[in-house]
Amino acid sequence: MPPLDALLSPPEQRLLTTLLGRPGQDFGTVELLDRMGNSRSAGSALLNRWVACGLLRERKLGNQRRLAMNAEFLLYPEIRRMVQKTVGMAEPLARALAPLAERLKEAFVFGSVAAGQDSSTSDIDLALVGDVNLFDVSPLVDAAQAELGRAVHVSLYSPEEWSHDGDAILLAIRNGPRLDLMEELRGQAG
Amino acid sequence: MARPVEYEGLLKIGSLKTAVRNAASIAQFLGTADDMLASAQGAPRESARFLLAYEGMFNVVMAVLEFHEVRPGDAGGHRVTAIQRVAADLQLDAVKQSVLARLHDVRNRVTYRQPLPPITKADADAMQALLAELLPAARVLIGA
Repeated sequence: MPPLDALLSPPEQRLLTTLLGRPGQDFGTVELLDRMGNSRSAGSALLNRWVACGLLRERKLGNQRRLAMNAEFLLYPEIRRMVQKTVGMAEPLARALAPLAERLKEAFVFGSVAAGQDSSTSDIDLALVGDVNLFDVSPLVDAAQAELGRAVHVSLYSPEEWSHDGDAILLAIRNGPRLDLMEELRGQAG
Repeated sequence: MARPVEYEGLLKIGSLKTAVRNAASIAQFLGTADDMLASAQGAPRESARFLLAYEGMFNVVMAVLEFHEVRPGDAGGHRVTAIQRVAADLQLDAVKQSVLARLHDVRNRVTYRQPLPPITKADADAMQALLAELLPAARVLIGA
């Protein structure tokens, strides 16, 4: 069973994936209800409940109700991380990269997304280490990009380059915040 | 030789503009691309190798555009359209077109937006390989 199913229903997961996929952006209720895919009444009740408890913030634009994640919510960092580690980012990226699983030594998201400092327009910085080239990787990442609706920038390293200790930028990438994809990648490939 | 119909569509929407074909100018674009490829092969750093190969690729694009009596439109975004059009014209397959689009974005990112993370060896290898394939294909198309 997918790990997030233990805590959230599939419509709730789809709602969080949409909202957290573009941090800071607000959405119309019709769009969110469509993404959730359950009945209008159940979806509306869920949106109202999440607004009431402060997980979503609401603003009015004319007659329209606009909703976005509330980054001030007490559990926002934890919820965001849970979704990123599963349906919101790790799963789509790992699914796309699964054909290369055997040839990758490391795969992770780094930069502003991993640090929780990204905006809706930030690229997703993806680091891959392995015996692969851009011609192997690019079409697979195109597919993930389409699914995530955000640009994915790939930094691709050979194992020899990656193990080079004298490069300050590589060290910063290696030691900075990361969202690791290898466990999910092995699961997808298996 | 009439240019492919796709170029006419891009002229209509302003992504391309008409230009005068000049054999010496086309030869200069191709000669510069040759020079860029040779320099990239000897470049000691990945960023220099990548940028030389990228500029070589764009000289190939300009040569093909001028052969078809067009040039990129003046507004932003037309450069990538021109690159994609010429890549398809030179029969670059879908995987290579994907890589070329990605590397064009890398060039724009490191030039205009954000130099970190830096260009990698994989980026430079791929850009150089694409230039090495596009240049002879352009010569065949143009008959140069």
